[in-house]
Amino acid sequence: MADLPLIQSGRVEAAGIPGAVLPTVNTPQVDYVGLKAGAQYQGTVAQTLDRLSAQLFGIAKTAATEAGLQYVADNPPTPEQLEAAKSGNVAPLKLGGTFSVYDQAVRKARSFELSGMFEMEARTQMTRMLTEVELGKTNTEQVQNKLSTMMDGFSKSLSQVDPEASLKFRATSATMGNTVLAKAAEFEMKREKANRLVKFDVDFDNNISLLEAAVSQGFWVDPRTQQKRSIEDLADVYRSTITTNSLLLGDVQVQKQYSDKFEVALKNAKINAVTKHLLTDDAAMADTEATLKNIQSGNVGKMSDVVKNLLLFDYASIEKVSANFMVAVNARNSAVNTKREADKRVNEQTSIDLLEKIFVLPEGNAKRNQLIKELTALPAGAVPIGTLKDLLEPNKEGNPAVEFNLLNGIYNGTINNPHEIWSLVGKGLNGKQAISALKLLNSEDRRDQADLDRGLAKLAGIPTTPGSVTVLDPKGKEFAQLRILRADALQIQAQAAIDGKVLTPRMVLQQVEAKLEATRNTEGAKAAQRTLETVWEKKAGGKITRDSLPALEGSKKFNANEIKAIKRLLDQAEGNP
Amino acid sequence: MADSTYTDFVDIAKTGFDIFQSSVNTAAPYLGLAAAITAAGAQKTAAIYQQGLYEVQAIDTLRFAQLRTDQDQKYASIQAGRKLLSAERQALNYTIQGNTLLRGLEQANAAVRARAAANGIVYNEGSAAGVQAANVKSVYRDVGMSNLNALTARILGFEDAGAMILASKEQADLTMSAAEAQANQLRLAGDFNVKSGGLLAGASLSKGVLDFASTVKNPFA
Repeated sequence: MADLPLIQSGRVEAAGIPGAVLPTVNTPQVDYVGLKAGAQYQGTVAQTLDRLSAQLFGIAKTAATEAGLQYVADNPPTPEQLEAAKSGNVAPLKLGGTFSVYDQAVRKARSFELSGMFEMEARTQMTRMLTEVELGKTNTEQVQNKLSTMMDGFSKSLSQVDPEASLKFRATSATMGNTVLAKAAEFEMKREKANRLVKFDVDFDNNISLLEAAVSQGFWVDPRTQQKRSIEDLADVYRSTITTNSLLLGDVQVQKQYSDKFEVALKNAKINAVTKHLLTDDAAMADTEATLKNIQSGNVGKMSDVVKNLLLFDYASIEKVSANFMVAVNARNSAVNTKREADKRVNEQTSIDLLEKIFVLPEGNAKRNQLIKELTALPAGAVPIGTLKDLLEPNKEGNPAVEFNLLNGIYNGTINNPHEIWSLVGKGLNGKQAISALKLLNSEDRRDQADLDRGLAKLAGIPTTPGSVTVLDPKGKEFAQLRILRADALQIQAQAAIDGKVLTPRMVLQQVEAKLEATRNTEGAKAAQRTLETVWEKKAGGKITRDSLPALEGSKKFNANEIKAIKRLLDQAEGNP
Repeated sequence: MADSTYTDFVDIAKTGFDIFQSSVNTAAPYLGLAAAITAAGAQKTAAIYQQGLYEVQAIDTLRFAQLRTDQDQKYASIQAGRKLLSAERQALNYTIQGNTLLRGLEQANAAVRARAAANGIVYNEGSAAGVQAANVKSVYRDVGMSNLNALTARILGFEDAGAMILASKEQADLTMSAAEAQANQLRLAGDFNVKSGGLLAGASLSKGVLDFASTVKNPFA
C-alpha cells in the first residue's frame, strides 16, 4: 500500500504563560514632623518648666538660706549651748535635720559660729601651751597630746553640725598646732642643746683651769712615763678632747668657737703664767732692762720653754708679756709715788695745824717752842725750810693786795699748788695769811666762801674781775674797808654760831650790806651823794660809781684834785671811814 | 597752667564716667525687662512664621501629590491599552496558526484521497478513510491547542491591563493619602511650633520679670 500522508498531532504546543505583570505600588514615606514637633514641644515644655522651677526653687532656696542665716544671726548661741558644744553635745543648739535648705543654712551658720569660737579657744590654749613651752614647763610630746585631744574634741563636735566646717577647722587648727608643735620642738631642742652646751662649757672651763695650772708650772709630767713633757703636748691632748666633745654637740660653729676660745685661753694662760712668774721674781722686778732682754732671749727660769715656744710661734704674746711686765713695774712705781704724795699732804696738813697753834701762842712760850720743834721735825717737804723763819713771824705786816689776789687765784683755780703759796711767804704774805690761804686751798668746797669774799670786796669798792689781777694801793681805803667788812662778817658769823643759827654766805653778805647801807644813809653820806649827783656827775656826763672811777681818772675832764674830791665824796656816800 | 587744665579735664571725665556708670546701673533692670519682653514677642513671631512655612509646605505637598497621581494614572491607562492590543495580536496569531493547520489537513487528506484513488482504492473506505480521520483528529487537536493559546493570550492581556489600571489607582490613592498625611503633619507641626513659641515667650517673659524683680531697686521705697 502506498504511503498515505499521515499528520501527527503535537505541532502546536501550549503557549507559555508569561509571568504576571506586577505593577509596583510604592507607599510614599510620610515625615511625621507634626508628631516630632509635638514631642519637641513637650520637651520644650518640660525644659521650660524645669528651668522655671529651677529658677523659682533657686529663689526659694536663697530665701530659705537667708531665713536660716537670719535666724542664727538673731539667735546667737547661749553660753550654755556653747559649753555643751565644746563638750561634744550639740543637741541644745536645736539644729534640725540635714535635708531642708533652711536647716542646712542654720547648720552652716552655726558651724561658722562654733568654728570661730573653737578656733579662738584653740588659739588661746595654743598660746598658753606656747608660753608653757617657752617657760620649759612642758615638752613636745605633752604639747602634741594636748593638741590632738583638743582638735579631736572640737572637730568631732563640729562634725555633728557641719562636716565641712569640721574639716576646715581641723585643717586650720592643724596649721596653728603645727606652728606650736614646731615651736615646742625648737624650744626643746634649744634647751637640750643649751644644757649640753652648758655642761660642755663647764667642762671646758675645768679643762682650761687644769691647763692654766699646768702652764703655770712651765712643763708637764706625764703620769704614765713620769717624764717631763712640754706644755704643747698637753695642749694637744686638751685640744683634741675639746674638739671631739664640741663636735658631739653637732654644731660646727660651736666647735669653731670653742676651738678659738681654747687657743685664746691657752695663749692667755701662757701670757699670765709668764707674767706672774716675772712679777713674783724680785730679781726680775728689780732690773727691768735685764728682764726685758731675758724675755727676748727666752731666759725666764722655769718658764723658759714656754717663752721660747712663744718666741717661735707667737711673738705677739711675747710683746704682751713685756707690756704686762712694764705695766706692773709702772704700777708699782706709781703706787710708791702716790704714797709719797699722800704722806706729803698729811705732813702739810700737820704743819698747818701746828702753825695755827703756834700763832696763837706768844713768842718764848714753852708750848710754842715745843710746837716749833715738832714742826721742824716733820719730814722734808712738809714746810719749805726757807719759809720757816718768815712763817714764824705771823704778826709781820702782810700785803692785803697780795693776799686778795692770792685768794682770788685760789677761787678761780689759777692757784692750785701749795708751793705757789709757800713761795709768797715773806714776799708780801705773812704766816697767818699763808696758813689761811693753805686752808682755803685744802678745803673741799670754796664756792660759798668765794661768793662771800667777792661780795665783801665789791662792797669795799675793789673791782673783782675773774681771772685778772687787782692792782690797788695795799694801804688804800679799799683794803681798809675790806678788812672792816671782813671783821663785820666774822662777827656776824660768830654771833650766829653763838645763837646756834646757820647762815649762808649770802645771808652774811646781806647783813653786812644792810649794816653798810645804814651807815650810808646817814646825813653826811646823803649830802656827799647829792654833791656827787648835782655837781660832779653833770660835769662827768654820767653816773659816777666806784667802777667808773678809773675811766674818769684816765679822762681829761677832771684834774687830780677833782678826782681826789670825787673819791672822798664816794667814800662818804658809801659810808666808808 | 597746663597742669591745671589737664587736672580739670581729668576731673570732669571722672565725674562724667561716674554719672554714666551710675545711670547704667540704675537703668540695667529696666533695660533687661524690656529686652525680655521684646525677646518673648520675637519668639512668638518666629513661631507664627514657622507655622506659615509649614502651611505652605503642606499645600505644596498636596498639590504635587495630585499632579503626580494624575500623571501616573494617565501613564497606566496608556500602558494597559497597549497591553490589550498586544494580547489581541497574539490571539490573532494563534488563530492564523489554526487556520494554517486546517489548510494543511485539507491538503493532506486530499492527497490521501488522491493516492487512494490512484491506487484504485476507495478513498472513503478502508485505510484511506482511516488515515483521513486520523489526520482530522490530529489536526484538530493542534487547532484546539492553538485556540486555547489565543484564548489564553486574550485572558492574560486583560489581566495585565487590569492589574496596571488597578495598580495605578492604588498608587494614586496611596500617594494622595500620604500627601494628606504629610500635610496634616506639617500643619500639626506648625500648631506645635506656635504653641512652643508661646510657651518659650512666656518663659522668657517670666524669667525677665523674675530677674527684674530680683535686681531692680524699688523706686517707691
